[in-house]
Amino acid sequence: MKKLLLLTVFTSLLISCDQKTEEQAQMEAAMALYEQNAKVVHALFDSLENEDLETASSFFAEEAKFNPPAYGGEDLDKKGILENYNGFMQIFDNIRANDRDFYPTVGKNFVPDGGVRIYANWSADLGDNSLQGIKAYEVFKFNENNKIIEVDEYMDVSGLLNRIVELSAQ
Amino acid sequence: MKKLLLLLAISIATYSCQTNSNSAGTVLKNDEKSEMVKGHLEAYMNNDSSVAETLFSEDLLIHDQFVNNQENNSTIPNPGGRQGLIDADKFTHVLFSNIKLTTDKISTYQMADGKTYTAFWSMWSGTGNFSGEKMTLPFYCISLWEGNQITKIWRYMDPAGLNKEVTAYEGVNNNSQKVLGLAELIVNPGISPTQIEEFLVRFSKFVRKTEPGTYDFGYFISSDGKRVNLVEKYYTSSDFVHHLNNFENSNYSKEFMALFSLNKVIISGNASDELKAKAKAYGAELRPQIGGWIN
Repeated sequence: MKKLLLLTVFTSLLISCDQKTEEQAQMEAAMALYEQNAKVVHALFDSLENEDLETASSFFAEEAKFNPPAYGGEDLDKKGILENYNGFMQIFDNIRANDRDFYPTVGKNFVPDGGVRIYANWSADLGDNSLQGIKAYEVFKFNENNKIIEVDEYMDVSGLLNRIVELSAQ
Repeated sequence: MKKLLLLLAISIATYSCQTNSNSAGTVLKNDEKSEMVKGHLEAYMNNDSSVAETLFSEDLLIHDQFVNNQENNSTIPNPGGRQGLIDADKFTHVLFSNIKLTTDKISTYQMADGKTYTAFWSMWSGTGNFSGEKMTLPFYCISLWEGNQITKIWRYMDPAGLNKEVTAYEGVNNNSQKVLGLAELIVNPGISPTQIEEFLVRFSKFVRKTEPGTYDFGYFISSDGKRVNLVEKYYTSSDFVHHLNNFENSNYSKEFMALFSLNKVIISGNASDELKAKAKAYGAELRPQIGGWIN
């Protein structure tokens, strides 16, 4: 009787374990998608560091949208995003996305939904001056082809522009 | 022995069932902490600090990730702890009406290292009480928990709109700390505009490098090249005093006096006693603010 009881407990555990395994499988698939997309963001940042606009462009879907961090800023389409990146490439040298810290975004069911949240500490050179401590938080959303369809950015962009003006005058 | 094996098998099964971690940690579902943060945001919209009083630790550290708030690549925490946050939150209600925050993107993360964070992405909006302008601001905030209190906060935003409203508020109340130095200079005989221009290139660089509190510094020449007026702005009277000391202790003061003669000097704004005393040496007239605003 004792053995039967123990066997029942063990079987129950295995059944409940099977259910969790399904959750695990779902989580693993979601994390695999996240990791794939995280690689895209890493590659995007690498292309910005290398001032390679063409490669940067390849990571965005044609319908991509950028929600800017600036007070009074207007949304950008893909063309606007690339013009924005190009502007920074023209102004700065040695652009670096340091201290990259990546996390998945989650959907309504709290499972990673393929999006990528990142913290980065940007730096660049403006002439002989080094610009450091540009800390930003960004959220990237992807389509099923692993192309970026939306970027939300949060940072002190006015402070950055003021710093550029200050350093440009030196 | 059989019992031992069975027990071992159960233990393994139980352990493998409980393991559901990934490198990013775990997102907590419908958790109490996210609800607490949401409760604080809702109270904040109503200018109610009661939730903040218990949610945040007294020695709360707030790191506003501003470009001018960095030292050795680290963000300098805001002063004042929890009370500083409450005072700042209340001040935003002095500056703005109809403050709203979206609260649909709040998540709490249990990290692999045991730390718990709550993050929210939001759109802050309000109407300036002094400028009349409606402002929206993308706002991201992440909080670190210790027990049931938040002890550290990191915030990412563009403060330009808030600063603009602070300027409007100071203008209406004539209580800006900013001070201006205005002067009419006579160009000394034999001095050419080219000489003045060359001097100002070097002098401006010197001021930029040594005076972080000097935020506007403009010189303007008349069409006949005989007069120059200057407009200098300082965040505080102390910054102005620093500029004057800096100027006097450098060789630029000698060069300046070789190029120009002072015709009229005005110090505008609410000058401190120290600045007033310093102004006497320049024969400056003091003019407190009576209206408008100082950017």
